[in-house]
Amino acid sequence: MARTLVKTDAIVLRAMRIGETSKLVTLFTEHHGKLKVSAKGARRPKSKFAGCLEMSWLVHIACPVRDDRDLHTLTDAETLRSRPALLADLPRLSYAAAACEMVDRLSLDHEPNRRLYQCLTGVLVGIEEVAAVQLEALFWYFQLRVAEALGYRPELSQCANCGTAMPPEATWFSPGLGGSVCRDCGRQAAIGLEEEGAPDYLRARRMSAESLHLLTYLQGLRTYSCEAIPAAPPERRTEVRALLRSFLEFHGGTNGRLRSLEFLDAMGVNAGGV
Amino acid sequence: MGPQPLEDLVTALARLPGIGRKTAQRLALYVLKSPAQEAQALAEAIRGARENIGNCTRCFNLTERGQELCHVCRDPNRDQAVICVVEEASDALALERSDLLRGTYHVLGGALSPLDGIGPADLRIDELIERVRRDAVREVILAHNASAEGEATAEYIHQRLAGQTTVTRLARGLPAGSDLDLADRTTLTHALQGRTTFQ
Repeated sequence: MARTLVKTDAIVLRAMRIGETSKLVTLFTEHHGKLKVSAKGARRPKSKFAGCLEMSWLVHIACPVRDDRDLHTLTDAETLRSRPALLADLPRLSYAAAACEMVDRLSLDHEPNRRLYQCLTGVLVGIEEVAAVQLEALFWYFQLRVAEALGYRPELSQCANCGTAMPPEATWFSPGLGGSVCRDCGRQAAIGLEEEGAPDYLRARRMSAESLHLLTYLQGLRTYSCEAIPAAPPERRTEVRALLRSFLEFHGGTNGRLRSLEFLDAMGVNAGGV
Repeated sequence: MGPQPLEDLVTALARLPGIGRKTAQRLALYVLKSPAQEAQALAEAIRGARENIGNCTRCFNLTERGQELCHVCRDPNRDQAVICVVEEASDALALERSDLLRGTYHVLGGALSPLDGIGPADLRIDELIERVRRDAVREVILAHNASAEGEATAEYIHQRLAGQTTVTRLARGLPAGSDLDLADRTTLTHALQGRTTFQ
């Protein structure tokens, strides 16, 4: 079996305790995709892994990777970028956790996705530097970019079903049909699914013109910059949140459902704005 | 495959943390070889600990069932106005080994973790705030693990207690006996930021 010594930069998606002193770490790399590694003795104070395997941190790792194995043994790790700003701010930490969780759940082991890697590194920088009122809009931008990087880019400029140009007024959004849909297609999709008793995330939902405009704007941003991210409008939050979550749940199944976002909901951070 | 009672014992021991099947088998054979009274005492100790250990109603540390307060909260020589906040009871046991802390403890029962869905309502943070208000606490020492979850929990408690009492935290830095040139960047940053004046 091929065995390669991988030396690369990686984002820590998750670090869990295993055994008495070790950690099970999920890493996301640019050229090798997602890797699951065990960092033996990482919780000991004098471990060479101590202080570098924390969620969302950028690290440089060395790890022999075998094609036939799912779990590898980490041999070296060094912190390239820690994120102290996240630790002092629970909403920011939660959004960083949600970004890492999304990539973890929607990507496969050993499958590199350069765009996804760049999305993640970009959003983690953004979560540290945007103002609190921009946080949720930044996360919506990230969700749209992740959908695009995975090949699920939602159609927003025309009806995803019949191809007619979207009118400027309120319309519909259907995860199953692939994005915004015109009034006729939306009604048909809604009625059809109601009769079948389909799960909530499959349901076509009404989408206001303001939400469509906001999502189109965010989808059109080619690169992240702090100034380009708008403040999340409080009156649109519930609607946009539900649209994007249902879209990712449709494509990712239960993997599209993020515990970190449910944590934010439970904390009341999302309800009242941050 | 050995006799069924031996297999049952090996299976039960292998469920313990850090014990694999091979070690479990070695322990099981030791128990079989040891005098009957010794094996009986072990079984009694396990049963007794399981049945007679509960949580202190004030600090949630481990205590004997039937005792409302743990040995630390009952101790008149302990300073009740100083609370050391830890994640788990095992952390309190570790700090007791230092024999330096003369205050009391508060066991939170974990740390905030968005990825695991553990929020403030799942920890004993409200009980801590209430205790600080009720008992005129002078100092709260945050003794969390040096992990992202631990740091976030410490920050959250610090914010909740702002203006109510003095909040301190354990120093971060080089572990005893370690070489400076082998220390990681984060540890060195903490060590430099937390440097102290020679007394």
